[in-house]
Amino acid sequence: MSESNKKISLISSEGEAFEVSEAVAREFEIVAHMLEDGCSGSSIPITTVDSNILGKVIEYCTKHVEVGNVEGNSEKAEKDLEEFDKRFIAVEMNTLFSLILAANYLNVKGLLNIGCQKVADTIKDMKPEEVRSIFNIENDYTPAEEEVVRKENEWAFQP
Amino acid sequence: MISKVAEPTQKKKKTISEPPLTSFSSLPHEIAENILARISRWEYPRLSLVSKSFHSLLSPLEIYKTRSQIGVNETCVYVCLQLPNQPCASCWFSLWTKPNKKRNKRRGKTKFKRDLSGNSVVPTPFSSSHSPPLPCDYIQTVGSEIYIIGGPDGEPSSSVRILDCRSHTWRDGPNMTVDREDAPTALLDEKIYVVGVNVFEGKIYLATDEKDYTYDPKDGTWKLVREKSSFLSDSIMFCCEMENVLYCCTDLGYLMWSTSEIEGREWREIKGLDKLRKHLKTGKEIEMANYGGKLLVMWHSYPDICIRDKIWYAKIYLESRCNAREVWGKVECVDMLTFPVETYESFYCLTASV
Repeated sequence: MSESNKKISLISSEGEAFEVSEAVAREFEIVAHMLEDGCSGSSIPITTVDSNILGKVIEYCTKHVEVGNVEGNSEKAEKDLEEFDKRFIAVEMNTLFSLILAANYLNVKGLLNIGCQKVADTIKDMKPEEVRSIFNIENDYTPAEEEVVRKENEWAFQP
Repeated sequence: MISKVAEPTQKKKKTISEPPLTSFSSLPHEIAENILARISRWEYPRLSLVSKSFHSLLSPLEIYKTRSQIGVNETCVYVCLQLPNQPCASCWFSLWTKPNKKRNKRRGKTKFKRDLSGNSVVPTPFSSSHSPPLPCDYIQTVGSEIYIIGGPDGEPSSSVRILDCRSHTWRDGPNMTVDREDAPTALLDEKIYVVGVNVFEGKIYLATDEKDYTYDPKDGTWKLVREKSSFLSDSIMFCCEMENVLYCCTDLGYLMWSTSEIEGREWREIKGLDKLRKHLKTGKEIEMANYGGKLLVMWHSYPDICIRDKIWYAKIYLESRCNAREVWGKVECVDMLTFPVETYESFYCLTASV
């Protein structure tokens, strides 16, 4: 649409302004809804997301808008985008969680999907104690309770 | 017109110490579920041991709802064994996809690759202890549920038993109005109809001595398919439907396919499976199922009086060529399952998507 040149400022929790095109801002569904609801201001505070993470989410959305705008050669573009996603999500767990939380809050579905998938792929082959340690989870089972859960699916724990 | 992301006016390098490690438990419930729903169900017992909250997140009621919301599913294979001297009970096993499992040396020789996705079986952990019904020849899977309609041979029944493959619980469906023995069932528009003849692709096929008819419930008419058709011939041992294509195996080990586009509904051979045919030819009992778009063929080649505790299977990747005039099969693997039973009388193979 003709409004694609319009700029919008997204303000991080630290008060930093990120100027993006409206098309990129609309990738944040939460922002898209604001715009549709007639929120015409050119700066939108994103109070729960810090600059570091907001910058990354904008990078993700910008790339996806860019690729979406290129016509033709869709197979290659799709592959590039896949590669981009893979690199984008190859971050340490803390950042990954922050990205997922931000994607969830801002409602960026694609990012939420690849983020959750990445965590799933990381833990799928892990032992319970490994999962606890990378996620900082406390084992709240008593030995007796743990035994009950083991019994529920005895077959899974046979050597 | 794409505008570049504007850099923040001044880049504040944050050297303040990293925030404490985010805990999984601090993630909103729906995100934790979204993550766990993407993991194979076979990992759930182990992951349930992480903490009480993992255990409750992974309860079948919760997790399968999320899986269907985000479009995650996996194909589960069940093998149901009928044991000798137990005409009404059955033994159900699930094919356990557990990679990197130590493999026993396989007896017998094949030139095919073995199944790398793991090939052991575990007794299906039904959540109630009362014995599961023995399927008759006609069982229908609808998504994640398996319907067993009527009773087995010689045990007419009007019962409909439904297995929910997510929670492995059985429940009773509404009874049919009449007792049926070996009731053929068919999936039509997501409804299950029980009829006395064969049903494919939403049409009912009736074979008489010389002519084959088809009945389309949509327009309520019977049509002659062809005279002296081979379509419902006696040599066909098993049939299954996948994405509007029918597949069958003949008693000589030929795997065939057919669609409504083929004139007269003739069977055509799936090409590229000559080597597999040598195995199938010896098959005494053959079952086929849709394995997530691949064809899963199971068979045993035991003589009648013999101890049976093994079943062979092949996973076949299918490809349509020559403007859908040919179907080619590529055998992905051939392997064998060993069951912890003394001997079985017959077996059924079922798949469900959970």
